[in-house]
Amino acid sequence: MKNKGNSRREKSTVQANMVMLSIVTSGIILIVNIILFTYISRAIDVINKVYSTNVTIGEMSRALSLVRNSMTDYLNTKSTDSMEQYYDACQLYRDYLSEITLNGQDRDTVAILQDIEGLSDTYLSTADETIQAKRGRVVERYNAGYERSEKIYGYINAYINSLNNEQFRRNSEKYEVLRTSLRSLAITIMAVIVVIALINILLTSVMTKNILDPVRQKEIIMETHLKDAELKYLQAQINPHFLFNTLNAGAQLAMLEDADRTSDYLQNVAAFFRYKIKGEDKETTLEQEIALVDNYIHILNVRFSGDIHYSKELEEDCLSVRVPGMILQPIVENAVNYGIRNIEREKRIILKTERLPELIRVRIQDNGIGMSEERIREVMEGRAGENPVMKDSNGVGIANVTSRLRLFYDRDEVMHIFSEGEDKGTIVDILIPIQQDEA
Amino acid sequence: MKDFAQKKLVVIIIIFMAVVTLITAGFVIYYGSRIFHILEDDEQDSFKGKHYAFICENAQDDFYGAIFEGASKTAAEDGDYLESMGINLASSLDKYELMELSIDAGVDGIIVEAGESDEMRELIDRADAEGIPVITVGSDNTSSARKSYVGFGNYDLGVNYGKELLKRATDDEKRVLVLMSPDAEDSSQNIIFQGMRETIERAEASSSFKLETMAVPDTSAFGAEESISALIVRNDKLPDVIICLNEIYTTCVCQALVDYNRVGESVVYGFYENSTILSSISKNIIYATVTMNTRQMGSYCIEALKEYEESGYINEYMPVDVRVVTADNIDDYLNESKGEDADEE
Repeated sequence: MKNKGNSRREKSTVQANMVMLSIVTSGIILIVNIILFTYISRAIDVINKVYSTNVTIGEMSRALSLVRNSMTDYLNTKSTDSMEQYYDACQLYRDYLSEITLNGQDRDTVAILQDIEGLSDTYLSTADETIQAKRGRVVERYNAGYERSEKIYGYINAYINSLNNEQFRRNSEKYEVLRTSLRSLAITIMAVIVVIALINILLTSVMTKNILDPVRQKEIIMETHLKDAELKYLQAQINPHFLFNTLNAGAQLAMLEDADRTSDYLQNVAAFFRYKIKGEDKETTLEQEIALVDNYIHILNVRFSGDIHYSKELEEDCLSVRVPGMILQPIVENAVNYGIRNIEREKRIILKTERLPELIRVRIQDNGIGMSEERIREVMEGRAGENPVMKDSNGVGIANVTSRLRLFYDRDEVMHIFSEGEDKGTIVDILIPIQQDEA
Repeated sequence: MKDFAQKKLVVIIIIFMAVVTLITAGFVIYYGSRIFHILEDDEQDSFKGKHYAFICENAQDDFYGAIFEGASKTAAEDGDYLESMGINLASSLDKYELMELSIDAGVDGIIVEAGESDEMRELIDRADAEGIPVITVGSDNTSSARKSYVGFGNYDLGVNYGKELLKRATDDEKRVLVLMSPDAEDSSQNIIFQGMRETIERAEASSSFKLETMAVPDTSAFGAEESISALIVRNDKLPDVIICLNEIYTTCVCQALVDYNRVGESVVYGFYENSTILSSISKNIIYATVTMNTRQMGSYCIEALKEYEESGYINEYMPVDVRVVTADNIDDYLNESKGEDADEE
């Protein structure tokens, strides 16, 4: 009981440890992944921002060219539409210019931006003057203004281009830093996950070592087997003792009460069962086999009111030959059950031993209903199924007896069955070779 | 005992895990902060002060490059910014266009290698009219409204060359070839030449020298090098003395003398310095070069602008020292400039 409690406690600690372990490692992996994803989403923001300045610069440049185109258009056509377009474009361009935020406010970039702002102011005021001159139809002035504004336009564009290039270069640098950082981060995190997985495996194996230890496993199997053996041992001890004591007690009681036949009967039963329990695999002598048949016939004669006439013709020197257990009783049982049980005439069984030159023949002869040739063949080949109706059969058939005899003596020729036909009885011969030491 | 070992193992694993976690945290924080601060990392490099423009004929020129460097450094000290105009533009503009650009961009001040042309004068006047102070450097425009001129006096420079020539006066007449820029409007080189000639005349040594000038044509992009090579190759007898009045001519002469194996046939006086010129002096390929502290010139330009902003008045002329470097004093000179560089750092 104590042992069981210990192992249960051990098991629950192991379980708790394993759960802890998996919680900790999954937790770490989760945290690591959350960090990674945070950085990735931040990185995506950065990428968006990084190139947004290039986009803004591009839009600014478009707005500037819109200013120029609408001014040129106005100078060409003096149309109200182009005038409106011009003022809109100017406003748009000013908006872009005031809103632009650059990546990296370094000295060169700031200087360029200041130049662009200064040039833009000059450009827009020159453009305004030009437009005014066009309105006032001062041809020379607006021609000069146009030329000047074209020149400035060229400068601004050149600066915008260089700013764009500079920003693009800077942005590419940032992107490169971002890329390498992300990659290093990913590699780090992969490494961490691998390391954690390895540690996890290591810890798990340490914790479950007790359970999976082969020595310990063997011990458990041995324990189980021992328990099994104990149980069998107890069964084996209790049953025969109880049975024989009971039967012997019955026999003694019968003797005390002067019921000699009852006493006899019980002693026979006891002897019969003792022999049966000893098992059919044990080796025994022919004499003991014949004693078992005697017990059996005695029991049957009590059951069936002594109507079996049983006679023996034995040669003394045959009795000590060694035979496998349980070979005669099954044949006698068959003779009773299938041969003589249902005949009206006197039922007779003769058991005969005869010493032949090389073997001993044990013959069991009945005067029962006999067997057909076909039936004999079936029985010899073991094809005849046991009759399920015969509940009090001992379950050991002819085929079983033959196969054991064959194994025991290592020869095929161990049994013959003869029958002259219906109602002519059956003879079963068991052939036991005489071995050197017994001869 | 076994339990104890197992516990020890578990403890070791937990410690190991903690270490791994710490390292990871370090990495994650490092790379994470790189990602998070990627947009903010270079804002401190900005400037809040004035925005000046620097304009010269050729931005690749070492002479003006060094002036720009010195000026730029001085400007940065006060949080100002000096833009080398045109360097950020894809298309190349000449210095007049750059002047125009600077005026239109509304910079806070202009430092320009001016030259005595009318176009430049008009532009300087226009800048002045729009309230942009202009400082001329290296090459003046005297009649303009420029606030100050930073540089060497061209006449003095000519006198220096003249004195060097006089050291070589002999009874034989020596042919002296002066390589000049073809820019007729650029009178600064004429003034140098004049200074040279008058020095020789004053010493009554005119008979010893036959002064010639050659305008090095630079109509095509790399014309100067071509014409100087032609000069060295085609003349069987090289002039006794060659005087170069700018850095590029000096470098070209050095190279051509070495390439066509005519080192020693002429005594060469150079202008300004670069690594080729200085090493040529050490190797006696050319005799001497006239140089000046260009970084100091640059620094003077910014100081002039600052002073003008503060007081509204500055000296019209800020002279810089001129030095003649020969093989005899080149080591001293190099040591001095090394010392200056170290001081700056």
